[in-house]
Amino acid sequence: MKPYIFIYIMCSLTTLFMSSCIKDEELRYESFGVPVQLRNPVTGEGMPNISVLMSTTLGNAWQAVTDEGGWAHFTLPAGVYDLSASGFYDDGQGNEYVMNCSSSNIEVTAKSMIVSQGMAFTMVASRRGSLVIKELYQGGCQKDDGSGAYYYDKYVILYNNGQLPITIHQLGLGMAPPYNAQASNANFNADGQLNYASEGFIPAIQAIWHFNDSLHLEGGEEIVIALNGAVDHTVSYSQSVNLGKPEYYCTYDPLTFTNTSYYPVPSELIPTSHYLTADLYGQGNAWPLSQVSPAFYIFSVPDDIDIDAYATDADNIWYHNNVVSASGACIRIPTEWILDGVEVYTTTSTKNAKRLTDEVDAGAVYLTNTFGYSLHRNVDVAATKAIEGNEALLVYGVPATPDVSQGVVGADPSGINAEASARQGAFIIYQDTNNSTNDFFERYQASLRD
Amino acid sequence: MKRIFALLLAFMVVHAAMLRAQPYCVSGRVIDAQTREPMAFATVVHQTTHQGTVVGEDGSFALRNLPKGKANIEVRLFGYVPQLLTFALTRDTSIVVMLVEQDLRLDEVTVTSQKQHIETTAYTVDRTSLDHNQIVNVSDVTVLLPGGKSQGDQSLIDDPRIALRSEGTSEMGNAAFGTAIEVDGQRLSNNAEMSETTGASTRTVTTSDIEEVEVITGIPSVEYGDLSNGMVKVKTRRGKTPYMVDVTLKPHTKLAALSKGFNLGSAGQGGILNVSYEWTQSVVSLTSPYTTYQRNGLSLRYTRQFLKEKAMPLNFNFDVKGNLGGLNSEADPDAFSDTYTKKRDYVLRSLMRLQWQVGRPWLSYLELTADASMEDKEQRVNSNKSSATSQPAIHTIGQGYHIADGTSIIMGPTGYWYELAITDSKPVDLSAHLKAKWDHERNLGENYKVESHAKAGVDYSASGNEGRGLYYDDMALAPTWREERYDTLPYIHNLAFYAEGQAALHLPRKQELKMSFGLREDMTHVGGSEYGTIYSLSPRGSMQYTLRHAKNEYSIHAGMGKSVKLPSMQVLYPSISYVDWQTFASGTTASGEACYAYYTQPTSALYNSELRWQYSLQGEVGVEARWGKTRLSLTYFNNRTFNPYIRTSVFQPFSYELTSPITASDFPIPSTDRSYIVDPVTGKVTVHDARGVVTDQVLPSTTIRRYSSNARWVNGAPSTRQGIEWMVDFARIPALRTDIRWDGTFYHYQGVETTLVASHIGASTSQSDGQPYSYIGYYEGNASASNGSVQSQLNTNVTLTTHIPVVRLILSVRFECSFYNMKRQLREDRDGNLTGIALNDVADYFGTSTDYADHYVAVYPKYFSTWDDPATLRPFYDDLLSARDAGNTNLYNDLLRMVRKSNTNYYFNEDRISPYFAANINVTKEIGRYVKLSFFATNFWNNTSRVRSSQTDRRTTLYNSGRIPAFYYGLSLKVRL
Repeated sequence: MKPYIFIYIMCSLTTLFMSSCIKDEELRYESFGVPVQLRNPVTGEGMPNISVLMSTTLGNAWQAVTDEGGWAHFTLPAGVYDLSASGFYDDGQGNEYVMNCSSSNIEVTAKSMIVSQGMAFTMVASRRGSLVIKELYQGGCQKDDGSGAYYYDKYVILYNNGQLPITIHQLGLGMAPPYNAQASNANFNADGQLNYASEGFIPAIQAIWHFNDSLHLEGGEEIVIALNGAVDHTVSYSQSVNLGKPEYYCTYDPLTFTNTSYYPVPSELIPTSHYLTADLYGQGNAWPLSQVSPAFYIFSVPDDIDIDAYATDADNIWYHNNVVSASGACIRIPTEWILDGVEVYTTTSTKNAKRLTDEVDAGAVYLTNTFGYSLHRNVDVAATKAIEGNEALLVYGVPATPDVSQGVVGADPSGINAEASARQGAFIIYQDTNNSTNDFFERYQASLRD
Repeated sequence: MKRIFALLLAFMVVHAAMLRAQPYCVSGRVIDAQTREPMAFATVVHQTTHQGTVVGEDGSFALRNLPKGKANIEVRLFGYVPQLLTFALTRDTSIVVMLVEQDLRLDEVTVTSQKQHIETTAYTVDRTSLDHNQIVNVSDVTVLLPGGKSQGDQSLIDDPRIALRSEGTSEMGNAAFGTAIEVDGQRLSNNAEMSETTGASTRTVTTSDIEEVEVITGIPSVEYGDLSNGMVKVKTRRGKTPYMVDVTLKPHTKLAALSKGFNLGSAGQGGILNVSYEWTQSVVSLTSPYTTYQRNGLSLRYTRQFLKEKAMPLNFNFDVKGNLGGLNSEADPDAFSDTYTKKRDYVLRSLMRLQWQVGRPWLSYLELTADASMEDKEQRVNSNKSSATSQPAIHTIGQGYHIADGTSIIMGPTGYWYELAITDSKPVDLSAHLKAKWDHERNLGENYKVESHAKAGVDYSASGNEGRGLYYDDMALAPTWREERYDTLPYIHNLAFYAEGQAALHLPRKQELKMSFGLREDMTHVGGSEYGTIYSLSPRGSMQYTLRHAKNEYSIHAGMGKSVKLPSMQVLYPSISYVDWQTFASGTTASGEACYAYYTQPTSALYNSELRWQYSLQGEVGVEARWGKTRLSLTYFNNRTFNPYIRTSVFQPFSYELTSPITASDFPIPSTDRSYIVDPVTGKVTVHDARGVVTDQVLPSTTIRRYSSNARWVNGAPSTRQGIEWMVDFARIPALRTDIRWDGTFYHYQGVETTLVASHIGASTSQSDGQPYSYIGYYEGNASASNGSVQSQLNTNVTLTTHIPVVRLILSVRFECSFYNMKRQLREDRDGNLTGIALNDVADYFGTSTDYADHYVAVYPKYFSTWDDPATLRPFYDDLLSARDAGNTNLYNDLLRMVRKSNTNYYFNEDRISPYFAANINVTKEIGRYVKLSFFATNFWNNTSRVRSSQTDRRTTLYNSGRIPAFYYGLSLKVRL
């Protein structure tokens, strides 16, 4: 063995080691002036008086209002931000639109162009629907024996937010991928926009539920849909809810979803006509609405399209993360079919990412799960008080639980206790700006427990 | 075939009987080279005839009836350097052998595996290497083989299985199941383990008392059966040994061991008992070190020699080895009260061996071995449960409709309770072996000599399980469950005969030619199996030619063999599984009570009269060379596995009646007064009024069309593993006192499954008309995008070993390099034609190209069948186009759902990983004569570089990737008194 062979081997190994190393750039932490402009989608002009929120995944947020030119001016530390903005627009011809805008992963660094030149976003106009998600309870509650959380008691309340009766045909329930907001999500373009935003649909992962009959609701009327067991859960879990009442609806289709923990046979009090049917195009023995951070929405399929046929049409299949798999199979739900949606973020992660587009929900509401909290829509104070005789019936004050991480849990920002007010006979109009950051609060308990 | 076998046996017996031994005697004394004291209990073996004896208390020994000619006498004693004495035996000879204590003061110390100079590829790892590398699990020994890669977190928590000449579990053929492991000649069998079909676990094998591990990656002797991917032979310490204490500390693992060999009776007349005890504990998590795996191994190895003075010594060995341990999470304070998982890993193994050095012309050696192994792998999982509603627990066995009646279907409780699930598994393995040898040496002239050896034997083994299977301590709280008692299943019996002949021809100019050939016939029987008794023949042969010139030596070896891996119990005696279809559920009452009915279908694997037994054809060619102090070995191997067992499904259409729940408001009988009856044949549900007020109500039902599915084992397509292994030991660099070892492997695997298999999209899936999906697709290989893969790896290790005898220190640094790591998915037919279609967009279903690269790829089933006509296989693609062109939207959409697509557009791209490496360091230092300290650190550079994948053109970090070992370290202390 010659010494040069040894030296050669050592040099080769050292070269190999050095060539395969990549050093990450060090981040610098400074503050920068960041101008943001919001533009009208029709005229392209700046939109004044729009509230703009810049937030980080750590929960820090900065707010500013656009000036006459549509510019909002921020001073932000270096970092990665999510932008959320919403407001209303009157076209002067008696038409009012909800205007929303959101963008994720905006880099504010010394090198980014937005620090020197600012950035502009075109807002999205969307309609305000009468049928809204009033409350979503899916985070579970604590078991009585202290062994952890109980999750098989999810429900949603849909509410006719207008004073006129409505009839919804082929009403469906869907959830956008990924199941959890903090999960890996490759559905974003390089510009931070969801890649389906420009294509006019929201994917519905795994399966959809739908009503078998048209749903008729009077103004201010609501329905409860049990998303798991339509039974009285309080029999064993005192912190849970009773979902076994005769007027409730439920997701129950044992031909498709056979998991009896998720779907025990519904209460005998609930008529079979209140059972929703599932169309499965992914895989699983249950519809796993996230107990942490779902993106849940409701939609109505036009009369000329059969909802079952639509769900089985191969042309409507779309794959989460662009990865073909049964677990990531979705169908495209056109945005114009969507009546309402709520984007839920978890307080336990800093990696939440948007799934609903701005037309559906330009914001997100945070949830601390497992403690029986629900997500409840805020009262539209002005609209509610504008109804004659309503103001005297409003009840104020909601018992608040200690702050968890996202402000005081439990209180409607207006201080109005909507549920108690409704029981007094008040007609509640809920806030609907298609931005759950503004429209929802984390309620101290599921309203069905009131 | 049997006739040939019998003839071969007869030939060998007659041939051996004709041979005549020469009555020469070698006697002498064995003493310590330093102290000159007699070395009692050293073993002395004549290498040609394998005659052996044990040295007496006074150091004396005698070997009689040895043949004339060159004598190779090997003398061994634990802790001393083995001595091989070669001399011409032409008369009775007396010798004195001086043994040198083995320690780091010696020049020749190895801390790497050593290639054996025999006709096949085999490596040896000795005690010094095991100590230096702090091996705590025998499976880690493979790290020391050419191209082997270190494990970072070396603990007993994981239970990796050894798979020789194989990379990864994604390969076809189950290489781990085909790799055999023996400890002191006792096979570690996994045939009776019901929960897995893989190689035997080595976690219960204590490592502190191992003397040597031999790994045969090449063609093993026909003496070894029931294998297809090589053999690992563990040899433990026996004989009279000093007190030895071993303490090893690693972040996740602690080990303490004590061993000692004793004389029994005066002057050792009662034999020698070697006792060792080892305690090893590994924790699952450093942050919560309460869930542990423990090994408490006690070994008793008794050795005694009889008939020593009769020139026909009889060695008697009796070993008892036991282990108490397993995984236990009961102490974990983070778990909810009284919830735990306990997995026993209790083992009791015993072995009795008689080795008779007959030394007669008609028989040289006779060996009888009987061993037994009993294990207790009981698993107890205590979990807390709760429910708001009464949940159905299905215990039905018979086919048909059943309703919750408290026996066949039990409605569980509401509220809170604990469920203790016990899986009782007690594998039992029994075996007996009888082996005879004939040895002869004959001179054929001045420069020619022939050594001939023959051996023949009979093996018998039986494997079964005396466990009860899964049950619950309170069956009233058991979930859906069916009793499957392991102890009622039959044993697997295997009887084998083998014969092997070997000839070594010594030629002029130190040339040597060795040849061996053997046949093995296995007969396997499982009582009650439709397959009856299985016969399999395994011929194996090998040769080696050696040429010596001055200080150089060159040799070439080649071998071929057939190995049969017998089918598992799952194939031979398939268990029954059950499919339950919910047919009715009453509405849940206010208290959470409900009543469920199910249609139960028992299924089991269907008998396949055409099933053939999986076998491997192994071949290898190797060269070895030694130039002075530099040694080289290079081996090419080719292992081809034929008829692998693959599980397919057979679908049969059937229908059942589904009855909707009833509600309180629209039913005349109050729920409190209802009782439900289901007709076991028609499935019609009748509601009876306990008050007698309302007549029985037969509920309306609808017919649901489904498929039942039975497994069927068939033979799959062959797969190929081939590669090159090499090992180069360069001559020492004197100035640095450093040796350099360069070893590595180039490994290539290719397997494509083309068997036509049936697949259903899933019972929960509906078709366009809302009914359950009613089509069966028939795919080549499987209903996935790929039906095979090809992979290649080039792994090399460079080990620099610096040995400084004067300070009794040895330091080794090992660079583990992966220069080439490629894998590519395949979708092709048996002729190699590409059968997938490249798509331009993920949403497409049609294309024209087979250029898979950077494209999504669609795979169509070749045929499909319908529920109404399951026997007719219709051409899928033609019908798909017809449905599209005819505007039959429903059929078109339903058929499209059988089209499989690749997950991504890069799925079929070649995945080449850029080169990467890790470096490990090991140090061993002796402090005086009695104490030895070792330290190691894997990936001590803590390499967290990134590597590029050509498949995705992305870089990913090596950290936690499994490609290189994690940064890890350990310290061990050994005291020898």
